[in-house]
Amino acid sequence: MSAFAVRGLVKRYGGVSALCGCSLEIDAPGIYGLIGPNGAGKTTLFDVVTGITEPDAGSVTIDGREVTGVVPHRLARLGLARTFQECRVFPEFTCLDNLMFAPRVAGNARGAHAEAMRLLDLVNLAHFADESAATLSFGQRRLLELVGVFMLRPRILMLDEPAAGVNPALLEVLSAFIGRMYEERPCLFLVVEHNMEFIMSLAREIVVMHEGRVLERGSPEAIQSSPRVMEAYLG
Amino acid sequence: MLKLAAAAVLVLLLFAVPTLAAEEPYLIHVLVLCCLYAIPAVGLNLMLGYTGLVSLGHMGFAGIGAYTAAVLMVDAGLGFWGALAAGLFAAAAAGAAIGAVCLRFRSHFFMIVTLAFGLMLYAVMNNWDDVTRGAAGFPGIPRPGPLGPLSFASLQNFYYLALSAALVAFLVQWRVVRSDFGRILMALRQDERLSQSRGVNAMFYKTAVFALGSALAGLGGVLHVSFLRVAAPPTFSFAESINIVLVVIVGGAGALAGPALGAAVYVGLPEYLRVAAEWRLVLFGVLLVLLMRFAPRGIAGLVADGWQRLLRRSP
Repeated sequence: MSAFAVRGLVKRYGGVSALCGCSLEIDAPGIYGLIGPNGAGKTTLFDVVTGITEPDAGSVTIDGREVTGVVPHRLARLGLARTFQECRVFPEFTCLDNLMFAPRVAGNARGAHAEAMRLLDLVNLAHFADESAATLSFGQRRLLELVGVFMLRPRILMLDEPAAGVNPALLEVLSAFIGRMYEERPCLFLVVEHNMEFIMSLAREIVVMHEGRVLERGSPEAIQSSPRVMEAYLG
Repeated sequence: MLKLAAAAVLVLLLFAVPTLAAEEPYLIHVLVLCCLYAIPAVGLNLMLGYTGLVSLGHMGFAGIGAYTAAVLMVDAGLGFWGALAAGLFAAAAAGAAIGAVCLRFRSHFFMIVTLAFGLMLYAVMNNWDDVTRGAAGFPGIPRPGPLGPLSFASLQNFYYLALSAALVAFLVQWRVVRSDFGRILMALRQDERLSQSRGVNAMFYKTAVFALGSALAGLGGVLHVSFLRVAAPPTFSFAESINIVLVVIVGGAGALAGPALGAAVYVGLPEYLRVAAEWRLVLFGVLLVLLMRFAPRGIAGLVADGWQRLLRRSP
């Protein structure tokens, strides 16, 4: 039974096929990088898996349970957490309230406060706990959003370009944080990323998408020397 | 703490108005009107101000409450308090049912659909002669029956009732805003998709706040027709729905005191100063533009900023 599997996903937008029979099975926990040239279907795959759009065909299963077309808030309760490419935080809430939001929704805010403060401290945002999220820099907002998903105690994490727009100093904090969280709770991280240096050093396995399908998967080293991948990127 | 004390003093002052200004029944009349607008405005503030749902048919739900209570009191001979409860329930149920339809749409599409439902509800009130008495209005609605030794027949006592009801509405709003439920509503206004990804069933909460807002509209509606002794469709027209939106925005959407400030300035002042009816609209057009430009957070925002400045000046 795969921890995470998509089978034969098809999604068409008008005449364009964003996904055409995309299949991917991941059995073991780990940090997986999902890369591919623009238009490869990464974002559509993300949207289908996270319940934002329904596929025209195919299925998504988590721990053997079919979740195709399940709405986002139910997926969150099933243990699938995600961040957004465009970086989303609640700008009017304080940083602490941003983290406490998920526990409040689930009705178990009582014990969550200490964990929230600990996570904020891990990304050097503890002294911003009572500041509104709108006062943070873009990179800090990315960190805040990322820290927020761990308050859901997820079993599968989908991170959509976590490094985009983050300056090098914060990138190190971000990278270290993801590594640290994986050590603490080894679950399945699926990371879409364009920053090759970042993802190649973080992921244990890289999945390459091209033209709506999985083109190849393998260790970062193997992917970097694969002629098929090279051809997909350079056309 | 200071804010709480100020609010308490204000409430006490408002309760003392009939004794302080015993020779001015018109002032009390105007204050009753303010309460009657502030109550549905609190309901709309929860929807518009906190959740970001701009409903253009809000007074239609006040009408559902009002006409339900009117029919039960006049045709079925039910007492005021039972009819009030039924009116509240009917408005909430209609809010949940119609809200569930409207909430399938977002932003301006949502606004248009609520506008359409508001017009439909108005058309029903205006034309269903057998039940609502149609455009002629529904006469003979009694004032609230006595509660123990307290009778609400006099203007002064009705004012106490309207003020208490408004107070209840504001307490409900205060409770909601400070609860986890209120926090979820505010999260939905800021970013619905993010809220969903953190486990919020957006449709459920938006429908719930639509029902709650409509119940408060119903409370205002029942009291309104009981005050006027007649239910007439114009009280719940599209123009009134727009007025209640303006009460919320002028007062300060998403501020606890917003509906009270809005009702006082938008309903109370012009009524009391008797600005000629036509000029009132011109004046408010200008006021609204100025407010949007210089105080987008409404009067409540102006007051809050002034308060902050005052605090900073006196260390």
